[in-house]
Amino acid sequence: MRKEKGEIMSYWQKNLDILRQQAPELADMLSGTQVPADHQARPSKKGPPSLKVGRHQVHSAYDPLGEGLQWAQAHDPGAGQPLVVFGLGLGYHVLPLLQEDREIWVVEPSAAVARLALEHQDLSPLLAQGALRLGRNFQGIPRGATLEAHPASRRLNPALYRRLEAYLAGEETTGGHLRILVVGPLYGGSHPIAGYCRRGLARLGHKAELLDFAPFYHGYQVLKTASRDKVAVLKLTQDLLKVLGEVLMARVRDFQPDVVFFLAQAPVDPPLLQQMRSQGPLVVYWFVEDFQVFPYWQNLAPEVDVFFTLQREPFFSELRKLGLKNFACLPLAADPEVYRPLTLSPEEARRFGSGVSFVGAGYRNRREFFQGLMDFDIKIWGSDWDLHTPLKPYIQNQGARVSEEEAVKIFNASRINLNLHSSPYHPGINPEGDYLNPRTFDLAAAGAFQLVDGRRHLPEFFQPEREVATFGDLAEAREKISYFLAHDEERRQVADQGRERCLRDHTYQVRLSEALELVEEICPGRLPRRPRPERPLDLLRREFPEDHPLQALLKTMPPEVEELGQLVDFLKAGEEPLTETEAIFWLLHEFHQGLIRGRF
Amino acid sequence: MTEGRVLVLQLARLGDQVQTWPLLRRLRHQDPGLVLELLADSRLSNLHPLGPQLHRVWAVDLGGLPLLVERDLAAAYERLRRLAADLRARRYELIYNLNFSRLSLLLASLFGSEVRGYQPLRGGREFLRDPRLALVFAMVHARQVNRVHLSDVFRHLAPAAPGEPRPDAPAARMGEPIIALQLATKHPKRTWPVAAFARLANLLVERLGAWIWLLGTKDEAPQGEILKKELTPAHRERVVNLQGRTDLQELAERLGQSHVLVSGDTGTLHLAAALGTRTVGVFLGPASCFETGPYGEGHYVFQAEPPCHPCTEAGGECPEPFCQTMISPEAVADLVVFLSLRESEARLAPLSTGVRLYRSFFDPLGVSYAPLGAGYRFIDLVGQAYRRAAARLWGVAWPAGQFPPPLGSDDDWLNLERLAAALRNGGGLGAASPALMAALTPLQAFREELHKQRGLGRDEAEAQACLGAVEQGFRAGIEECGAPGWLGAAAR
Repeated sequence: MRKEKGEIMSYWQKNLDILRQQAPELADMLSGTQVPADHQARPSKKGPPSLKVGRHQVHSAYDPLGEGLQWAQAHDPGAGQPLVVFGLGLGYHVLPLLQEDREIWVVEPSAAVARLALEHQDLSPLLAQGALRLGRNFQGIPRGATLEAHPASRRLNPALYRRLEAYLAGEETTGGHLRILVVGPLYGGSHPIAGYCRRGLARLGHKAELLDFAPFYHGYQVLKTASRDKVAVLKLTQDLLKVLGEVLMARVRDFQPDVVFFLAQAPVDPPLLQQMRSQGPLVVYWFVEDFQVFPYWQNLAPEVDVFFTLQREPFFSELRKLGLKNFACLPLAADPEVYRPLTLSPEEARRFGSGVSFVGAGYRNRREFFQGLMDFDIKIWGSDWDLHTPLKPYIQNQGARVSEEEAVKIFNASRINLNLHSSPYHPGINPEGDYLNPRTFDLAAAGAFQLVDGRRHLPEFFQPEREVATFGDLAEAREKISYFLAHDEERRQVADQGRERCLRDHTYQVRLSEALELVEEICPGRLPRRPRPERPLDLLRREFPEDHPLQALLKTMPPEVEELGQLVDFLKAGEEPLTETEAIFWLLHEFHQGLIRGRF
Repeated sequence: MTEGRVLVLQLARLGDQVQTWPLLRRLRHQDPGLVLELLADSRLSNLHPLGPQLHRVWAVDLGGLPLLVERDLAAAYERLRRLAADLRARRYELIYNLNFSRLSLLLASLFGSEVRGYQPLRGGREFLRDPRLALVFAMVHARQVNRVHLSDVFRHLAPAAPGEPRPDAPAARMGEPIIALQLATKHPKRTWPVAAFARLANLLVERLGAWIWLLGTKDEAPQGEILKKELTPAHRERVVNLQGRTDLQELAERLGQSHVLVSGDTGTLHLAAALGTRTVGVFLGPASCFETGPYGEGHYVFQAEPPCHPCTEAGGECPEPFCQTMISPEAVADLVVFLSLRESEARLAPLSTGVRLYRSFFDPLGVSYAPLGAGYRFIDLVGQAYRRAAARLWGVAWPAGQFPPPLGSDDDWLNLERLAAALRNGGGLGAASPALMAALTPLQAFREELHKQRGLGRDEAEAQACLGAVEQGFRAGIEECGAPGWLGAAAR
């Protein structure tokens, strides 16, 4: 019997009300979740709905209720033992396990599946316990609990299952120690992201190196003016790109990475990607662009092992049309070492501060939208602004580029940071806008208050109005600006909560850990499971007796010093005469360097 | 005579180690009762019995320590700590630190005695060059005029005593001629091609009926096999490939039996010269016989001197390594035949343009090289004047009339006059030729180095005295070159 729409709504509303009391963030997120077309809840032969995700049957199409009961009986660990079930599905196998004296947790990998479960099943006993966790959020789940996996969910999300398993076993992260070469572009928005990625990967404990092509940018520009003959210039630029490709291959031969991680606009073409893949490393490409604005993904996506996007549908359908399965969505994030709360000098606060500010390029929609805000104390920062418009008095430094350091200061100094996602096609807010720009995360990480246009993906990342303030049109933006300018405490609270969320869920470290899990999912078994080497300095601490003068020296090292070379760099930077211990360590490093150089 | 105890710290490889022997010989001669010790790479332990007598050799395991650092840092630390403690306990009167490397600075600093040469400051964080070394360091800025030999730089770190012995002059050997060839050098830019060596071997077998011994390490053996393939079967029988088959002791014995060694700038060459084997150097690329030619009297060097000479080892491959083909095997063969048969020099064929043949001799400062069959050029005389400056700085007496015969070309004369005038007027040259600029570069670099040293605590009066000695010595040298007597003689 097919459930009526009214019945669906009644489960959904009831579940949601309970969820909202226990976990308002999760409730908001599921409210904003759209169920993809390949997630189908259909009545089973016996009546209650069954679930199919893509080609995978999550529950029995004949008797899901009976099947769930059977599974629960088979996997019941007995009373008193905390139990974690991986995979909620539509909840058939979970509900029979709910008993008064049992601590139970359910981790559902997919927001869409969770939403369907809330629509089709009365989950109030589970939700009332606050026991549902979504995705990688394992908050509150006790380590050491027994783990049972619902087979279909595990099949669909092997990497997350492994992560949960590792979490319960008390391990920090899953997977082996990897050598990863991050390759950025010569210039542009994805250039800093390459650096953030390297740092994020290094913080995950991997050996990560950045191949920075920025030093070649100047030469690239010079070539563009080298001749009036366009064909000659084209040839020269192609030759330069060929050289850059050789630089890349040389780096790959030297560093022998397990993974080469490209950022959008990196100077690579399909033949180079083919050549690189033939040499062994797994090739990952993060297309941090709008697929509708930049179509070059069509050539690159088929040539890499894993293609990450910022957008889902309809981008995914386009990728499928090319016959591809090697893609996944990987949203942007923030680097909290760069975007951080700052104490500004009074001069800086004056220079960078204003009631309302915006940092970014002068896209058409922004030029039009901001003209409706000219009666506020507003400063507009960034490049590509037309100075022959009424906005001219508000554009700072004649539309000069804003450096990363300046941006952090502006974010900190402004009472309200506007974040209007760019669009070359719309007059104001892009009604179809889905993914979040870097600024959303950067502002949150900086602990800055932001007022952002309500993008479709936003609720997945930040709880609207609690962690960020949002607007849907100019009138709402004006209203909220006025309100928040007048309410300092509320503004501060939203900013703090936004930062807390960002540091928890949206740092590059978190994001790249997700990325590696997705890589494992898309290319199972391709990443080596090399044991993670002990941090060299920890090894030192362990190798030397406790009363050794080295231990005192190590205690003076800042936390980022992890290996002998860094320790020696730290010693070199000092002024005081070297102690014996310091001199010997420097010597040991010199010996080691001699080994690498092959001479002294 | 004292009961002093001195350590010489020389961690470099075979060539530099042998080039340290003149210093060791001077120290030993100066005070036969001196307890003379050496700290060196343990891989060279076979070498020391061949050189001046030492009381003790401390070996640093430069081969094994780096590996130990990777494998067991604590053990490596302990080994270094123990070495430092042992050497500190020796309470040396003086340590001669001869290496410009962080490694030796830190070691010298750990040993806790007064250091001469490269002197560590603040525990090895900084260093101060001995002014004697500072002058040579300044010469490096214009190596084409440097005429000071590395062995003499080391030697003059210690004060002189009368009657100091020199290395044995090359001795004539009897019997069937044995010509040893050392094919490889440590850097491709200074290596004479194996094809040239092959041609030389052919000529020597043909003209002398010589035995050809190929010397070198195991790694170099493939080169020897390539050479042999280039020879006719009959000639091949006269070639013995000893590459990789000799330890240092056996190498020394083989060199002792060889009539002549032909080699680039290598450790084998320095060892041969030190042991009294006659050597013929084939120097090209960055190698300069004035700096690191065979040390002693009566050694020969063919030196390719294109305008880019001497280049540096740093950087990538040379795009146009034409100096590698400038020295002809025929010319080298002529000289070797002459040396073996003791024929007259007049029969040497003329050399190709840009190649000069030098013969070593002693002057008051030490070893230098005089061109054969060619005159002195402007840069040679400038180099000579710097030798005079070095002599004054190092306190070496320099009797008048030590200068070579006059120049040939008008340009050289003009340069010399302009340089002499500039020095009289205080150093300004205005728009000058590259040769003139190069002439003054070391002087300027020496001034800057002393200025930097003042910042590091060098005594002001001492710095002034050093600078004065070098400026006066150099000016005196240039004036002696341009003395009216022979200035007139050269003016056609």
